[in-house]
Parts: sequence; C-alpha cells; structure tokens
Amino acid sequence: MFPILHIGPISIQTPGLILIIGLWIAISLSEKLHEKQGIAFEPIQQIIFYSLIFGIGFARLFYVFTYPKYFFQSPINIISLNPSLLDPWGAIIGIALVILWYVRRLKLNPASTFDSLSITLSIFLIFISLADWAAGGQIGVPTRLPFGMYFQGEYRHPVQLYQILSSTLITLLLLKIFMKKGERKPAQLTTLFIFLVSTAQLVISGLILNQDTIIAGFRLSQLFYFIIGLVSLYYLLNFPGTKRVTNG
Amino acid sequence: MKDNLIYRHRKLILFTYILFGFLILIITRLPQSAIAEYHNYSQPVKGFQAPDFSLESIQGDYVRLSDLRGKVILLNFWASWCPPCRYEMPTFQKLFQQYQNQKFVLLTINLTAQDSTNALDAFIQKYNLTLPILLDKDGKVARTYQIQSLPTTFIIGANGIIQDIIYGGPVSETLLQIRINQALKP
Repeated sequence: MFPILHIGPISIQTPGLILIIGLWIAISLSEKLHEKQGIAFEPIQQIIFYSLIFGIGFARLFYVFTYPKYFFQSPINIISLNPSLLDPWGAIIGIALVILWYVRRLKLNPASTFDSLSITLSIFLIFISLADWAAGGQIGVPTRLPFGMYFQGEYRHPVQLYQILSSTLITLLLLKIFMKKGERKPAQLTTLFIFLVSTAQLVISGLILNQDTIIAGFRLSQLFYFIIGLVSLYYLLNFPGTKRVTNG
Repeated sequence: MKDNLIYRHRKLILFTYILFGFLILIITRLPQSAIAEYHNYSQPVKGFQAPDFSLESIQGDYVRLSDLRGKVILLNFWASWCPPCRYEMPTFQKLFQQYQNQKFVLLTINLTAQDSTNALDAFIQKYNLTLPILLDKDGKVARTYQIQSLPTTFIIGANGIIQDIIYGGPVSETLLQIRINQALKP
C-alpha cells in the first residue's frame, strides 16, 4: 500500500513508524486500564521493556549464529540497525527468558502476568495489522463479494482489512472481559486470546494467495493455527474446579 | 451456571471446532492450477514474477530482464543525488566482482529521468564503477516497480520470482550476501 511515508526530504518506513506508535499506545492504554482495575502494571512495563531489549538481542544473536561466516567477514554488521538481520525464534526465546526470570524473581502470579501481557499484546496486534496493511505484501484469493479489491484482473479478498477487523474485535472482547468485575479463571484471558487469534488466522490465512508454504494445496500456516486453536480451546473448556483469580 | 453448561457440552464444542477447522481447510484449499497461475502474476511484490523490462545500459547495449532467467538477479534502483545510494554503491561494486563467476547478475538502474548525465558520469568515475548500470530515461521501469523511495533493492530468484525487497539504504553487505547465497542454493 504505502511502505514509505515522505515528509519533506525525509523518507520514513511506514510499517516501522506504525509499530513504534502502536507499542506506545498499547502500553499507555493498558496501563490506564490496569489502574482502573486496581492491578499493578509496573512489573508488566518492566517485562515489556526488557523483553524488547532481550528479544532484539537474542534475535540478532541467533541470526549471527545461523550465518556466522558472513558476520565474521564483516563484524560491524553484528550491531547493524538493519531489522532484516533478526531471527524470530531468537526473539521468542529472548522474550520467554525475560518473562520467566521476572515471574520467578518478583514472585508474580504467572496466570495474571500472562493475562496482563495478553491485554497489551492484543492492543498492539491492531497496530501490527495496520503496519502489515501499510507494507502491502499480501494478496487475497479472488472473490465475487462487493468489497473485493481489484488486482491482476480480478476482485480479491481484502485480507489486510480482515486482519485489522479481526484484531480490533478480539481486543474489544478481551477488554470487555478484563473490565468486568468479579472472578476470572487463571490465564483465561491468555488462553482466550490465543484461541481467538488462531481461529481468525485459520480463516484469514486461507484467503491469502502468496507468502505461504503450500503442501498439496493446503497452507502450512493454517494447519499450525488449527492445532493451536484446538489446544487452546481444549484448555478453555476444562477450567471448572481450578483455582480462580479475583479482579479488582 | 453458564460455565457448567459450557463444561457439560465441551466435547460437542470441541467436535464442532474440529469440524469447522476441517471445513475451512477444505474450502480454502488452493488447486494446483491456481498455484501455477499466481506464480505467473507479474507484480513488484514479494512472491510474484518480477515485471519484465528492457533498458539501455551506459555502454549502449540493451538488457532485457527475461533474458536473464535462470540466474539470481539483484536489481537496485538509485540516483546520484541520493546519499544512501552513494554509500552503498561500493558494496554493490564489491558484490559484482565477488559473484562474477556464479549464476548471479547485479543490475543497477539509474533513475535518469531524475538525474543528470554529468552527475552520473562524475559518480561513476568517483566510485570506479564497472558494474552494469541501466538507464531508466523516461522513468517507466521505476513506475512499473512502484519505486517510492531511493534506494530500493529487489532480489529475484532464478525462476524470476521476487524473493525480497529492501527499502532504503545503505543496505547491509552482510544481508545482501546472505540473501544472494540463499537464492543461489539449488
């Protein structure tokens, strides 16, 4: 769509700008909502801050270990600001280590910690969808629906708009449950978040034409989302009798 | 009460979800004809065929992109007035020499419609450039590739499909080496 934003002589990568703004909004909004519920947000803020640092650090480290000979030839690139030189699995491990460390160190309740992180992440997810729309890399399969987008001679599903819509609806639902007074089941919000996102992606990724590994016509990402959705639904349905957390 | 209702019907809910999942997988399955068809779409987007073009080089000969099918292509759009383009040009010169004997072609496309011949000549002399420089005199190729900022670099696989697009610069030499070597793998 519009990967580059021109402001006078300056060219800014729009997706990156949207993500930075989105992160700030997600943290600020989440903080205000937690304050209203009487839940301390400072530990979550620290987790997010150090997750960013260690997530990026581990992502770079993993990438360097994957392609060591190229970085050996040019060691300065180890500290390059280039976001393409990051490994997503490294980021996930870095973030997981930070969360684990903080939960143990500050003796936080893991379930409510993950619930708070899920609220923040769900708000940020809206901006991830917006950044994806700005980057404009996904093309939908053909459709006869009236709101199709015209591309390569056919009207197609506007998959990026579906992503924005689904992430917004998921966030609104989670916020509604979060703001409701009364008992909640442990990690209920986290599991619900995972379930809703997986289910939305199961449907939406089936409408994307490019950027996927396809085996016998089936998209590998859809199989992945289906399994995650099923596991999270199983966990959601087997809550009765477990210890509950109180909100407010 | 509501929780007990959900808990009592959990097997039915799970079964319904499994059915729903399989239905979605089957309905959205891509037939082989559709996969083959979309690989032929020509768009300056990752995963699609790089749009074909024919441009005159600075030496006077013409280069057509489709003639280079079977080789990995790095396509870089630049202009002499663009500071990141100046910084990264030595990197491209180095890569051109490094990968000369492999199934790799490096093409730089100068946006001549926005540049001047004098500035271009001075630029080539200053950086001792011997790599291929194509001249987009009317800006048509830049419009086809939807160039919104300079520099922009495309990495095109041997099958003609765009594997990566790098916006802005100066682009990291390490990143380019990794991407080129990934593309060169059989």
